[in-house]
Amino acid sequence: MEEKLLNLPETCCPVDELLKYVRGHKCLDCGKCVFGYEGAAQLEMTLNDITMKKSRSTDMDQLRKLCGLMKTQALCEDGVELADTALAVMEKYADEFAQHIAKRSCKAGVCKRFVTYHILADKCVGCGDCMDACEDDAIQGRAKFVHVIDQNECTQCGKCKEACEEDAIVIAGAIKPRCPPRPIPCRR
Amino acid sequence: MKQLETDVIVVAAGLSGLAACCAAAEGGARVVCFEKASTTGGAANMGMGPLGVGSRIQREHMIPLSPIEAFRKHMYFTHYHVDPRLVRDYYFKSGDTIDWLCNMGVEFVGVQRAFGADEATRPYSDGEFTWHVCKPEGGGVPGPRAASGMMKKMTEYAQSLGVEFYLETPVKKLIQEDGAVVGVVAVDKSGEEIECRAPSTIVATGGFGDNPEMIKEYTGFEFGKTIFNFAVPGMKGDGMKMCWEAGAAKTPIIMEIMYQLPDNMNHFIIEGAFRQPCLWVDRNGNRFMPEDQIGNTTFTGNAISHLPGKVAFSIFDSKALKRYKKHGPDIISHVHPHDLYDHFDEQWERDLAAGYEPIAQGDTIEELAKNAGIDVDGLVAQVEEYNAMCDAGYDELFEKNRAYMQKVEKGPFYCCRQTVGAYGSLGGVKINHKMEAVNEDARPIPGLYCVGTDACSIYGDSYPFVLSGNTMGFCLNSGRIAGENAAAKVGF
Amino acid sequence: MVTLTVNGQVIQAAEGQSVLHAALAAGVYIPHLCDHPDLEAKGGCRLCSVTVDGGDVPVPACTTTVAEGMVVDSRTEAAELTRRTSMELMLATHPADCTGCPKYGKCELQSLYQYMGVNGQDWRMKSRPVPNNDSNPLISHLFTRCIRCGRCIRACQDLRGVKVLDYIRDGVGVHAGVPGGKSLVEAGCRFCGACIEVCPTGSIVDAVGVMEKHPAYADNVVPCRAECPAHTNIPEYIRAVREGRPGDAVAIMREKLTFPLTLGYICNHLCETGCKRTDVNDPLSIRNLKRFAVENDKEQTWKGKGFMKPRTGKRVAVVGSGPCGLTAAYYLNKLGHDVTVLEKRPQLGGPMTSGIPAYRLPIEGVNAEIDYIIQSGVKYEVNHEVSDVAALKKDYDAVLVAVGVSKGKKLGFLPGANFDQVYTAIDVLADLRANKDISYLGKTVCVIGGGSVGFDAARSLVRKGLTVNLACIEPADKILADKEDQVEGAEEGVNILPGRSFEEIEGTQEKVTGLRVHTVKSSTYDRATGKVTEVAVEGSQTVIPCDSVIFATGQYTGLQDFENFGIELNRMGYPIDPETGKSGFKTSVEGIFAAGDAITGISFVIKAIASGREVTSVIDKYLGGDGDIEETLVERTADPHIGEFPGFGTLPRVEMDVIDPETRVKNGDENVYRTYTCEQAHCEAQRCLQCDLRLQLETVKLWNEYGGGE
Repeated sequence: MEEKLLNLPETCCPVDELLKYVRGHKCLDCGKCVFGYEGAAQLEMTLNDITMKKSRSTDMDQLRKLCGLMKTQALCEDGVELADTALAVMEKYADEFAQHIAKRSCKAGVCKRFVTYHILADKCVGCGDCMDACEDDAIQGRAKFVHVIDQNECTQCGKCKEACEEDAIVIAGAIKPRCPPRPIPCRR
Repeated sequence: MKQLETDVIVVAAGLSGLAACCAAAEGGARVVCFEKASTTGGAANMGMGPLGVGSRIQREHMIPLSPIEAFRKHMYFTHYHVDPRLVRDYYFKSGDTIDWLCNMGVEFVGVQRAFGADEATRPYSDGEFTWHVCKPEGGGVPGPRAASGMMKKMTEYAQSLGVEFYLETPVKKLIQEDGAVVGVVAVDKSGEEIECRAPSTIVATGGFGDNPEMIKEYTGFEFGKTIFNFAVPGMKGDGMKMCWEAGAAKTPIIMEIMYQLPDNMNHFIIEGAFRQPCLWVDRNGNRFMPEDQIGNTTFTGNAISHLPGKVAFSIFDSKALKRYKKHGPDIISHVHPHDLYDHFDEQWERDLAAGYEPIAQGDTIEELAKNAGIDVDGLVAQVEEYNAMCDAGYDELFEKNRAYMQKVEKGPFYCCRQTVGAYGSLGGVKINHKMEAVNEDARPIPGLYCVGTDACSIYGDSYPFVLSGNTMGFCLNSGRIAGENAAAKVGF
Repeated sequence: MVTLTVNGQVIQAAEGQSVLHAALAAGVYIPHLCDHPDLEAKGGCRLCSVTVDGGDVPVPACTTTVAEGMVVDSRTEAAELTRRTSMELMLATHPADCTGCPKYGKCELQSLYQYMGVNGQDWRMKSRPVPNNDSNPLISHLFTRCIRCGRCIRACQDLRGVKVLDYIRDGVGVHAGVPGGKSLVEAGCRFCGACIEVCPTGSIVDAVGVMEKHPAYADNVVPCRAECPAHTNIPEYIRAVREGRPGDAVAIMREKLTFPLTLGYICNHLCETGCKRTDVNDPLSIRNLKRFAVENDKEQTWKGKGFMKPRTGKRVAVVGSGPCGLTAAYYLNKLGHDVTVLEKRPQLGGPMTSGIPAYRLPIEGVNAEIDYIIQSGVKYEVNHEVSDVAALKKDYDAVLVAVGVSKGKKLGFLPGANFDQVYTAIDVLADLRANKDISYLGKTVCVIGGGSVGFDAARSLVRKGLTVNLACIEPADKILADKEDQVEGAEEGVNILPGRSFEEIEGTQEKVTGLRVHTVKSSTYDRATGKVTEVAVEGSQTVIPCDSVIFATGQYTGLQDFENFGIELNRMGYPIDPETGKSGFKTSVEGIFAAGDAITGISFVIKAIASGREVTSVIDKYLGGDGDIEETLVERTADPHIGEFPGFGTLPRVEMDVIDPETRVKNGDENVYRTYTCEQAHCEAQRCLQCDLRLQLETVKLWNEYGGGE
């Protein structure tokens, strides 16, 4: 059992951490038993969907059922250990999992699909640095105009935030800041 | 040579054959069934469920469709090019047949339609709720193969009625004496011949999906070149040939058209990803249909089959790909994986590196056209026109649903060549409404019945998706009717 | 024995047996997938989950050993849940589209999901594509369909010990395969086919076409045996040769063949055309291995073994003592009948002793094989020509006409064909075999006809110091005789003239001076009318000077030459069965049978032997017997563990050493080849793929074969 996974700092998302753990697990490289290999594959795909905001309401029940079977039906200790770990993490961080599945938030802000990037109108100076940094052409704007992120195009890569010297770009969870829908002249 | 004698011989144990076995045995006949494969159920093991009209389940779901309405709709769809009496008897039997299956222990999740039509076409192309989808054991969502459980129940029922199955024992020929079919010769796995005699023989071998020569001869398509159909091993057209040799008349034969990629098993994500109402063009770069219809695989397959080279090209740009990744596809297929676009990049890179022929990529439209084998000028002009219409928010050509009018503007551009596919062949042996094989003068060949897709010539030129579950529906009901009639001939 | 209860049924099981195998043996079906009767159980798939003695944690029946009084149930809720979930998990990542699969309808996975009625739609669906690999000989890999049951790996690693297949991890997932991206040949595959046989899905299958030649499954698996007209157990005798037991090899041959030595020298080896190794590199040299075995069979342990039935008191006459007649005589005698062979020539053996030249077939060997038949109790009369077969019915209960085709044909239309110095090859060959003076041929001869009889005559006469021309109408690439005859004949000095059409034999009744021919661009032979149409090369007319002309243009039975042979013949002189209107074992007179070349026209010794065996059964049944002539002359076992063998796929075919042309012409009767040395024979025998081992593997029975399901 990975004790680390049960004592996560606040900056870590338990869903994401469990997903990483599953992805690195031996069971995905073995294939000698159905519950170990396909079980791990389902854990991986389902956890990934949860982090990607594509979960189903039945996911937690199904994963618990799956892990329960893995515990008794995997061919070796590796599969048992994987199931135990997954069950323990899901139990200890039940709230975080529920928040993800309800598609509300990733408290730690790790799962990118749960966050959006925004340019605050009162801080933007219209310099265009963010637009240059964006590889997805997701930012509209021109000199001296408040820049705007097209949420359909944004991939939450964070490069714009790094590029902005004015700290005008923020990450938001469920509650979004008020931003202009299209570029408007800068107030500053 | 081993000798057998029975009342009814059923040639092949697919859906129509099993239905014939059960019905004949219920009627008190001794039944012997020969099957080429080692399992029963044939192609129906991949299906999801049959059509039924007027079943108890439909009434429970408040679906008012009556057999005569279904009959009228079917005949309207086929322009009366098909035998109305046969169609009538089929639909009038179909509701009761669902109840018959329920009594064998088959369970259905409910009644569905193949798909709802796009708003603009709803009055004439909306599907009826006729598709009785089988319920998986232990509950859950039904998918492909859902009907395999039904095949098990039917097999068990037949076995309990004393039907004798000879597996891996294909029938090689019919025995005909004084014009009447009086039995068959089959060969078992060890090569031994079995001669079986009976007053009635029901042929149910499922068409010629696995016989490229017959596909070419009767439908003009070339397997692996102009058509990539399901080729269920063993479906060689044996039964049709036997019936024709015995004097049965030929009917027109069609392939049950849809569209699919070559070797789609290994390129499933690509296949699913491009089944979207993006930009579809022919080899010259011209649009050929309103793309909002591409979910209708019958119509789209038909349309592609009339294009130059029998190919179409489905094209989207990077923006669309990003949108699909983020929000999922515009049209959802129940066959392809749910997370198509999450794995798209990985599969795309791999297939591109491996030189998978149907796909192409380009940073510009010109480059894309060149790589994909589309006329460059034609495609450039078409994209320009299409993008202008997207800007205007209105498709002047086909009035495609405006929600799908998304510009093709940002490279790299992605393209996938679409080819005609098919589930198998339909029709071949002329039958009457009693399912008796008949000659050119519509006179029955004594002792010979033909059922299922070998004899399914009631669709005209295309699968009637408006009454979904039809292929399995016809197999089931034609088999059942033939089984009843064959049993009734046995004197007691 | 142990008594236990499975699904409410009390069953008996052997000590140490698994619960799964005990239940299946008792006819109680429990679904199962990764288990295979020939492989060690691993318990990976959990489809055979059962609860034992009311416990709530299901266990796999395949890895649970039976115990006295055990109560097993596969239908409890916990067992069903485990089984169903396992199947759903497998289906969630197995290709959704079964219809493109070569295994459709014969797939264990398909049968199981049909039985269980589940699909994987509730789970996340995923595909793990692996490119199909059709580049290997005999075996196709479609690992996208792999469900990781590990059967092929256990078969390859443990059962066979070949150690080629293993679990492969690539970017997409885990599946069975060949590590390191090697081809099967590079990896040391022995192409035994065990992986194909045990694969429950369509992941490892026979390459397209391999299994489609014969109606019977076993014949497609072991095509050499199927192609041999007598169905000699080829893989088994090759195994005996490889293991250094030539005597056992001969015993195995002797179960089906009366003339193994003769065949070892001159068989047309249809078996080799069936050999699957052809797809890997070259076919086994089966005939040469046979020759090696017979010549190295010192003990002859097979002698006197096999059945010898009590005397029936029935008398059978066999007319003709070629391979067909003697074979039938041998088996009819063993079946208890009193057999007399009637031969028109002064010695027994037909073409083996009076046609096939000594340099191809040593006479002592043939005589030893004939002697064995005579010593088994067959009576014979030589110099006894039968001109009225029906008359024999007076003294015999049954008569077999096995006269072969012993009369040579001349092309009657050719001017000069009736000259004194025009002969038939079969007569010349008979004279040569009898060491008669052949100076009547003169110094230069012209043989007409490019079949094996023509070459036999030509090559024999070269050895007698004659100048020999051999002309035939077929072009060089379509000469009827096999390649060896053509190459070796030319080496020995036969002047081969292909593509020639014959105009006239020049000379007088008493003295032939030459054969006038012209060259043809093309020619076609119409089998129905016997007519040849040709396109001549203009101005190509030449005369081949010669002292005599020898026709090697076909043979016939000669039966029509008798005033009344006593059975119905067609116009070609072949007996016919009036029931079918064709030649067959039965003739127009009850109790008179026909077989061999006398019903098929000229063919090969192996066909004649096979025909002799078949007609024996027919005659025995007519005389009131059961017609069974099968016998086992040596017990044998085949070790399924064939072991690792790097480089197996590239082992070259070992040819026999050939004597140089000059020496062999000088040596006259000596055989052209030197029989394999022990080392050569071992090298060649170890190339065998041992296709027959695959038939040892049990076929897994599907649920619908357990009669009525539950």
